[in-house]
Amino acid sequence: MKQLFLAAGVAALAIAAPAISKPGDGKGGGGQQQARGGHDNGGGGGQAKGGHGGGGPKFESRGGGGGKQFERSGGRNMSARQDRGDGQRKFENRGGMREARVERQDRREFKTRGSDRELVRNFDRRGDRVRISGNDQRLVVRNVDRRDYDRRDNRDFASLRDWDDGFGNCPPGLAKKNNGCLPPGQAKKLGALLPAAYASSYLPDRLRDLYRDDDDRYYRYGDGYLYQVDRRSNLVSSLLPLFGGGYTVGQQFPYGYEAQGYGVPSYYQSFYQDNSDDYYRYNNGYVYDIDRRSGLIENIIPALGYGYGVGEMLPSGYSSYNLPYQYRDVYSDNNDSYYRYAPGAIYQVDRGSNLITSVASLLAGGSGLGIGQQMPMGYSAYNVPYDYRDQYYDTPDNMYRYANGNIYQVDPTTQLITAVIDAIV
Amino acid sequence: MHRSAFLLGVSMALAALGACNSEGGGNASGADTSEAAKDGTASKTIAAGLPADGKFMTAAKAAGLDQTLAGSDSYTVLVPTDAAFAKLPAGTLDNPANPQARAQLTQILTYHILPGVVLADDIGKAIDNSKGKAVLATMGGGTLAATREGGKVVFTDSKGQKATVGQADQKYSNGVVHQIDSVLAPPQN
Repeated sequence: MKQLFLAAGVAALAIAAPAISKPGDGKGGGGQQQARGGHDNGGGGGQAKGGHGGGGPKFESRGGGGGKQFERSGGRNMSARQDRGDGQRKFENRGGMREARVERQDRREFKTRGSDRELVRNFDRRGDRVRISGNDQRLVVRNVDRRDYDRRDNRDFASLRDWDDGFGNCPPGLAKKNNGCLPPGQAKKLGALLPAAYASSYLPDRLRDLYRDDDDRYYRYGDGYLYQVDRRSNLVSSLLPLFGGGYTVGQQFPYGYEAQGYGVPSYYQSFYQDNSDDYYRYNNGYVYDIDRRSGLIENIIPALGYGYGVGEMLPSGYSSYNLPYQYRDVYSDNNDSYYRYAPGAIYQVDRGSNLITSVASLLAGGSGLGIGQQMPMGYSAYNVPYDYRDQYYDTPDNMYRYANGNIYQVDPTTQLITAVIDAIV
Repeated sequence: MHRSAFLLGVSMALAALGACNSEGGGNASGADTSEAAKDGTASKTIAAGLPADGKFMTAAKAAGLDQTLAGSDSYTVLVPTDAAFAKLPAGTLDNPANPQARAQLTQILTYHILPGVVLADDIGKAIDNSKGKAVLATMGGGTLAATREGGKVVFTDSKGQKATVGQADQKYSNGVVHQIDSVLAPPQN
């Protein structure tokens, strides 16, 4: 147990260090020039980047490396400006193009299920719960888009696991601190006085529940980091990056990475394909979306296995509503929050700060939860929710198993799925 | 850092748990449980039913999973007792507010959450049908093995460590809780 958690600690360290592990241990090619397909990463940016309505948040950094300033604007275009002392760099998101891609992706992802759903859905709504209606024992049979459920393919997951063997060694240019590897400018802030500019920079509202000031410490927020300050000493005791790793949007991706084929693992390649505008690199659990012209990081996408966390910013690629159909009745966007599906979970995101405020629902993994597919390992026990137990119980001919809002009818002999029954939540 | 405060918190949580046990289900959640056992479903969600100051819910809140367990989707949750959390090496869950620790915490917690409602009886049948060892999928992606030892259901994690089910079938509106006596370790990255 002990070693386990030690190892886990190392892995956790690695999360925060967008750093080198093994150059050339390239899982997945990356680097190809292909038309972008599948999941669009850029996604308009309107929701995920920048503020809404009353002006965007402004992050200022006064770290050791000279002043940087990121300005986030509302609306669909995001621009970031980085003043590096040695000149100015500027890039702009190509909002229009990205938006078009999102639409295309949406159509593709859901068209297989659009029409047949309308034909066969026959729901009774009782309060906020949805049930299959009546006594007709009608099976709602449809093909399930495999992509929606193709979450944790173990082989690909394994390749992710193998990727990092950094074991806590910080790459050149990053300083090792108790909390992991940090850019030097940030590392200097640890144990230092809180920058005066942040003294009244309070946390975004939704984060205050998570990081409550108490008798020992208080929290402030600035330049993408959350500062934990010790009340007695008034020194910064912890720096918590709210973005993935220590790199933030608008920074230069570290020199040397782009040339070494830090390819996106194969699992993600269909989602994040290099194109004429952007290329993608993977490191320590994060996919970095990099603008070709400026070399600056446009977007940071935490990869599978690490998942997103409460208080992190959802990548801008998730600007459009994308919940699997069976969850759409349950989680709809509202004035305060919006909901987005990413592998493994449905996340609730605060509109004002664009930070994840909770995990609304977990979605089970396993590839191929569709008719004719084999039920994945791990469903040996009957697990149908209470409301459906009278209707769907195991018999010598059929067994029923629940996952992701659906009940699957499975042939006990072949273990093949013979029907999919809507049974949501 | 604030170690004394943390230890104090743990011991307070333990004291609270001890009080619950000594009352023999006389507290609110215990009463709810017995009522639930009779009626089939309880009115409370898992998030509302589990002690809010217990180690499991504290950790779930830090990982943002409390809302998951307050939702309408159905889950089976294996809840380690506070004593089980106390058996973890010191520092393991020290600072769940730290995103690095939180990713690890999320992996641990989702390894204790199974899809759908799996009652103790269902686990028993699965064990019988699977020649003594049932494999159960978790929301974290890994699997657990369930076996029967000395009349009790025992879960074995990815490292071969075991946790025995104590109080089983605590039914809530959105799932069921089985108490276990150890924290299970998810497969490592």
